[in-house]
Amino acid sequence: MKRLMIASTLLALTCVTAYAGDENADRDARWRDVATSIFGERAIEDGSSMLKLTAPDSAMNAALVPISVELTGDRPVVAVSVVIDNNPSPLVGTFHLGPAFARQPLKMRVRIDEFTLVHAVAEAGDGKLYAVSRYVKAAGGCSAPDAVASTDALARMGKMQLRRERGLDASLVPAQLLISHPNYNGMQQDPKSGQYTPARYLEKVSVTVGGVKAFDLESGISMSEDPSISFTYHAKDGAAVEVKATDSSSATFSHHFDALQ
Amino acid sequence: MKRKAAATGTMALCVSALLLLASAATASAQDDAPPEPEGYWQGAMNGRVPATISGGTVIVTKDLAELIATEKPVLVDVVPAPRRPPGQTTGWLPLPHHNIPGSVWIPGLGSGVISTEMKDYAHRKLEELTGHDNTKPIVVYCRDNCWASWNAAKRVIVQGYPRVYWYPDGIEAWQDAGLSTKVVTPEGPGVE
Repeated sequence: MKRLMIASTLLALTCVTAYAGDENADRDARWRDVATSIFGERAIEDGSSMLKLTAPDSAMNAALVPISVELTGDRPVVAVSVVIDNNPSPLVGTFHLGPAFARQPLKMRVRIDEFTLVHAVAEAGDGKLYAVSRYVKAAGGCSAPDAVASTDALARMGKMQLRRERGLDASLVPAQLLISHPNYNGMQQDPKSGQYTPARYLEKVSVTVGGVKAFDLESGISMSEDPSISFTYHAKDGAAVEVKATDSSSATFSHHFDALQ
Repeated sequence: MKRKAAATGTMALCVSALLLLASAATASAQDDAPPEPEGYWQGAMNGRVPATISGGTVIVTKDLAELIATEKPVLVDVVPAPRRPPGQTTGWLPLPHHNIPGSVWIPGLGSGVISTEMKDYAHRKLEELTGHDNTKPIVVYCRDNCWASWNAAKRVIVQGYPRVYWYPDGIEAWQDAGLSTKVVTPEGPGVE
């Protein structure tokens, strides 16, 4: 049996190499379709010298998959987009970066509907696009019911927290923004009634520090419920953080966080 | 064309090698599986599923490939279908749905609760697909770690079919084994 296992393992490994070609061609074709639907006909170059994308190889909870994008190198970047190629609505969101955004990891949690490539795309200051990708094995995240009962979710909708760390360098503040919002994508069924919960999700989130833009995020239904966005901002003495968010039902939520003293 | 012909031979060999590996890996993965719930599962559709289904038979990829080759079972895919929210602005490009060739795709049949309409539809559809022969094997599946197939398989068992097979590893395991798939459109009352 052992010898058979080794033989079949070797054979299987050979196969993976042999078939990777076709599989990669399918993934490339899907990425071209998705990229065109989001960025039009603009060329997208390899971004490995500008971006680092971190994602788990596989995730049990496909409704909450952690993704991190870090800008490496020193070329100016004006926007970062995260794309889940095989989701029905592939674009998680686009972060339009401002001067208060520090070049530290940008983290979020996303829904993944089936095994997929995840792309991070940077738009450089000159308008050119650069992308990197990773393959993630997770499935079922889009139809997963929300973890919080819907009455509770609606009651605390729009509540926000900003967790900040005090680093060695007082002018750079790592922060985690948590927004209570079910981000219903319209594909989740109420387990009791079997009815689909109507879609309602955050469309815009803007963060400023002392009036200076950190980022404006345009997002959609591939962002997980209770969006969590970790980023680092350039702080100034006494500068407060303002967060404004709008959802697809045109509800607006805003919060003011005092400066770290 | 030449490449395709050469690939088919290697393919068969690869499939057997992968299936052998897959069957060796399955047994140990089931040790910490949750028990079967009473009634239908009402929680999140994605997550660890039981190792068993009472009244039915759990099968792995190798068994399914054999069953298809020998008995032409009815194949029921219950992967939930994507639904576009009205007014959604960040783009909509659902991936064509691939499943095991010959399957009927009935999204929504595996939900915790189903409508009377869905119940009636499934009833009629299964009679049609089995040609009113209730001894015909029926295979139910969705994705890897997906409760929808457990619920749907249980519904088919409750409906009185004696040979129900549940394939919990789902379409991902089928594709991982290099087996062929086909693009299908959904049917039934769960379709928008």
